[in-house]
Amino acid sequence: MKTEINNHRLTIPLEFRVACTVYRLKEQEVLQIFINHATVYDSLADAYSVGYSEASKTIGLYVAEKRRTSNGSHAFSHCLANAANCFRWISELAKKVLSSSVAKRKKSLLYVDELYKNMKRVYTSSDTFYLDENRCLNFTKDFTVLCELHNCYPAEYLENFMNKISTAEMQARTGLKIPNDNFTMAFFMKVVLGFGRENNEVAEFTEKEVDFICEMDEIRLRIHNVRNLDQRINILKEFYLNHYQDINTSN
Amino acid sequence: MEITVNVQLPEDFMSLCTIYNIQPQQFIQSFINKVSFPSYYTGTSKQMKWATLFFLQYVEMAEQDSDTEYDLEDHYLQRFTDTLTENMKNDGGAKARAAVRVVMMDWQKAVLAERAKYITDKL
Repeated sequence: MKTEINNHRLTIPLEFRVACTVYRLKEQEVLQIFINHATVYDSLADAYSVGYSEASKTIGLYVAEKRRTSNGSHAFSHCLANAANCFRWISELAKKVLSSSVAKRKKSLLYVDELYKNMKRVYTSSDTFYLDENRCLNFTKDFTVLCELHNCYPAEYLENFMNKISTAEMQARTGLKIPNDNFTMAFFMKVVLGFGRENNEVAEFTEKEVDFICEMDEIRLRIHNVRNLDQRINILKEFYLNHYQDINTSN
Repeated sequence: MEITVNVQLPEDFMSLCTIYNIQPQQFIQSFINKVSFPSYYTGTSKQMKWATLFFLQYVEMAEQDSDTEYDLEDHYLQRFTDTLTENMKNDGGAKARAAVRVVMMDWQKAVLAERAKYITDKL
């Protein structure tokens, strides 16, 4: 195992920074919205709930790849029976047909609270996570329970989420006949359109940004003749990166 | 090639044509003159691009339910792109334009052959 990796520091991938800049989102806000919508309830429920399902299944997919729990969760090893009951109740709750998802999710908090109280924290030392001196994220009880349950550090979930965000990849697929099945990116695009955001007014764009938006439409059409997905991604990556650097140098 | 086209002239388009004293035929002619992959992909002129971009956007929207031969499209667009990069010289794109026009002709022939297949296959 690599020991030099600091699990309390977050590496923000370039593509994620670029995507946030292009759509004028704050990195911290996007991450917080992701955290707020990842719940134990939605990891267990089959029914689709806007935003919640995407966020929770992003984590679900990650932990399914990692499979760290062959020996159980470290945090719950001392209270196995109780924890198992809580998860079973939430799972049963999810299967109930009669009430709405909102109501069921709210009710699940009762069990999440119980899990949160009883667990011995191993991977989440605190509910606050500092991105740097000025920006911090707040973990929900649901989110910390999900970390402890699967023996994962919060930074892993967040980095995995960010790594799936790429405007270049999304755009490159749009013009080909390759389906866009990246639901994490779909979540991000919902945030772009205002999902989960406090202030979803569209900010006034600078002249440079207006030019960029026009060019963005144009380049997608222009690369119609490039049929190789990787080549398309590279062209678009470069295009977005130039804009990102442009914006950052002018600020 | 000359054909007769019947189109509905929408009210807004007609009033613009009247206001600016433009013949609809002439306008449409000048628009379609500029719809061209060879010119668009070799050209540097900003004025020339709009008509082809409109075409590309139209294709993008229509792609789901059209009968485009996708295998041929992939193949010939690749050839188009390769030919383009090989032939782009400092001559304002003239050589490349001529070269990719040949590709377009071949592509067109291939598409027509593909569509005629259902007749020839039964012979």
